[in-house]
Amino acid sequence: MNIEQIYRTYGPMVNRRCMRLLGNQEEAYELTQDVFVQVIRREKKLDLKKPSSLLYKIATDLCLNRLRTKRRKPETANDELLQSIATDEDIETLVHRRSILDVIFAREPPSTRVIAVLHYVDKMTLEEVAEVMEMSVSGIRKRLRLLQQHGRNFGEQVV
Amino acid sequence: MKKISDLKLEQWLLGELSAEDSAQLTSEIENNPELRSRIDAMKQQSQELFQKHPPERFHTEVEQKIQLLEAQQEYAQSQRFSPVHWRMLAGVLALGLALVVIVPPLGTQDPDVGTDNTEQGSGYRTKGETIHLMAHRVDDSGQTSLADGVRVQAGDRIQLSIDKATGRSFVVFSIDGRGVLSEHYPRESKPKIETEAFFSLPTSYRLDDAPDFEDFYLVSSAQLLDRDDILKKANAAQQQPDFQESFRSMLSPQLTINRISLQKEKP
Repeated sequence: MNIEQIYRTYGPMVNRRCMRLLGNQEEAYELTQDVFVQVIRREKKLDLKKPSSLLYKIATDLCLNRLRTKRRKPETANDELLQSIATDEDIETLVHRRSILDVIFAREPPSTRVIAVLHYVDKMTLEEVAEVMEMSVSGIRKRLRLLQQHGRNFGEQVV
Repeated sequence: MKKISDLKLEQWLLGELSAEDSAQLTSEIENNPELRSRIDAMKQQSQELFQKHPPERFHTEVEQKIQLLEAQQEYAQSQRFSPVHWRMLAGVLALGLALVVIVPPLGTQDPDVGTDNTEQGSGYRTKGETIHLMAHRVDDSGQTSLADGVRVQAGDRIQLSIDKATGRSFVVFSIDGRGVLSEHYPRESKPKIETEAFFSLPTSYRLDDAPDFEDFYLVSSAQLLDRDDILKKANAAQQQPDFQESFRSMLSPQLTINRISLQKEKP
């Protein structure tokens, strides 16, 4: 596997993705390295037919892990996340804005966190999310419906 | 209008879209200044990334990270307690308890102000069970751990890492034989509390031709550090005859200082 070549081709995309979610250049580069570390270590298990989707998914997952681990307060990139989620009409009617990040980061399985960010923050269509996640559209729809349900319940508990 | 996702634009730039999707998006980009400016910004960011982090170095950096991760995992594996370990620990605890009952306490020490693992009371910690700085020389054959005082030469690539970092914030800088102070970490953000035990600095460093030595300093604390204040004090301490003593005296005793001094070979 020629990592230098893969970095030349996909490094900027991965780095932009990390930068968008973390809002910090130093951390974004560190996580870009981590994405490629995963690619090398899991080379045999990864399906590299659609490199951009796969790398995008790994980057999103690692960044969300980082955000969750650090339990950041809503500021910088998270503020943007929060705002994006909060200003989305569909979700705002369903969940309380303060609870959604907690729901995403604490209660849902990692893949649901990635799905939620791709759909609500990145505004990807269900079809696009399904392609990145290598799941069916109905599977994505079901995950989001469950997330909204959990969010509504959680919102009712804390408000 | 439907928002075009970042990933879709990335795939367009990469030429990964189907011919039909690509043609449709190309037409949208041509007619939409907002999309054009997003594409321009992405191209600009790509150039900046490669200028700052060249592809030629990337492979080595990732390999180092993998090696460090594997070393960390091996270490963690070796530290796992077996039933035999638990029985030994129980015996040691029982003995300890007996001693506490028999011997009166001699006083308590703040773990951050301890003296038993500092260099003769200098306030500079050496490697041990507390947070410490590690340096490795990296070359094509892999990496070699560098002990304090070891000889290095101009052109050597040095990777710094920090062990026992959990729950600490830290600042790393170096001072060379010309008296030049270089800031290594964090460079673009405020210090943060590290959650992992092992932390490898994001970039390695190529030693220049400054003579005599290259001293790397790690200042750490259980509280969030003020990076600018520490660097200001380091600069001020450089004006004094004894940098180490002055720097130590300028900092709160709660802060830990760790140093690795690399001696420069004459060219």
